[in-house]
Amino acid sequence: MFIFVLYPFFMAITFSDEELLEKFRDPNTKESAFENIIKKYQEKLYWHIRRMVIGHEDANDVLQNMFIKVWKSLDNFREESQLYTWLYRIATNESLTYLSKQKKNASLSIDNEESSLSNKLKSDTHFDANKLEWKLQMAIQSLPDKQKIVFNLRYYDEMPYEEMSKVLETSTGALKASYHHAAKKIEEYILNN
Amino acid sequence: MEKNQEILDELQAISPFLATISRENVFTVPENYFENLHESVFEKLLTVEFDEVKLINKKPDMPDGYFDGLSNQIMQKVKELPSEQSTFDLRKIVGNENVFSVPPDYFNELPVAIMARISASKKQPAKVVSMRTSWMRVAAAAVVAAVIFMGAFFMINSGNNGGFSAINSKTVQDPAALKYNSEKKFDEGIASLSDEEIVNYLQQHGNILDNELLLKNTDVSEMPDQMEYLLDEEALSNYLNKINNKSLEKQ
Repeated sequence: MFIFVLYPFFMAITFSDEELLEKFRDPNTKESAFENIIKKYQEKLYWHIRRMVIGHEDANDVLQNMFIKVWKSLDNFREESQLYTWLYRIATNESLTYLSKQKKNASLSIDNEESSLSNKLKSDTHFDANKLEWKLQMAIQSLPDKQKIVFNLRYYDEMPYEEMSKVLETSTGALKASYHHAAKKIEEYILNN
Repeated sequence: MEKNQEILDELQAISPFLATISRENVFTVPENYFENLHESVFEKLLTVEFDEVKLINKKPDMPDGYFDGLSNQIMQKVKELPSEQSTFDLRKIVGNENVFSVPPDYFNELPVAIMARISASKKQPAKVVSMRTSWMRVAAAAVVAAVIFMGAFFMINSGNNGGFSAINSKTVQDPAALKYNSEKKFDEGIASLSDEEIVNYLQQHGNILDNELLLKNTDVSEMPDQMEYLLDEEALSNYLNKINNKSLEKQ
């Protein structure tokens, strides 16, 4: 009985992207397939977004809006790209759009985007300025958006450059250079602060 | 693990210091957040789709393709109506009551009245207009013209220094008018005219005198220009009121 109850959950995790897409196209299994897609990728996408926008509520908004867009456009998804990289691309674009809106709002006030995100970091109840991991986060926020994304995808998500190239539609050579510059800047930031 | 090691090696090569930092996740999420996330997404999805449905105002029980065949269905229903109902009849909406009236028995009496006029016109001899002109009528007309002309001349030139003393062969082209060169002679000339003669003359030539009098008593500089007429509908009305007030002040 216990195994029977847990069976759908484990099945969802083990479904391949191709199987999930096939079930999504069937009206009878469309919703359950989408639920499984959410469960399969929610954590990876959440953390990718969270590292970009910092605040949980912001990340939650972006993630939910992103899945709404996925639901609307998944019928038109072309299978020549992987679902995984396609979802990351949408999450990245949604995060950047969100930050862009924040930036416009920030331009009306004294704060800029970087200091706004840094302030969000500092306002976290667990923030510890002396802890190296928090310093690393502060250093990442000092990077330009593109370098920030590349560094996070490589450092935290351990994404191969080939896949990252599909997500960001940038050559692997450019991504490697971007990661190199980002790592150097972060090192410099931490050592000087 | 192999991939992990590859990334660590890469970082070690770029920044040995950075490679020593643990990748501990410093962020936290609310309890059971990921367990309930899919439910939150579906709730939001329902809200979004409901809003979109409301936007296109689609009724839930409306069959698919309802509007595609609607015009054909309406036209078919129109064709099936009896012919007198299928045409648009304004009289059925407005009614055909005649709001005008005629005298009692007007149409009964009309043919009789018309025939009576026709027969009456046949009995009367045709009116012959004589082409001969009497020298007496010409002379009378000349007197009227001369006197009226002098009256107009006097009025037009009343503001000048001349008056009757200004009447001479240079200022007056009509030789017959020269004999009315004093107030007394002018008054006698006016007295010799009947009212009918004066009225008839003014009816034929009054406009010329009116225009001359108007120009004589008008200050052109005060008149509105063309732009003022375009910009202000009240321009003419205001100007007329202005000159009317001036004339009242003079009186």
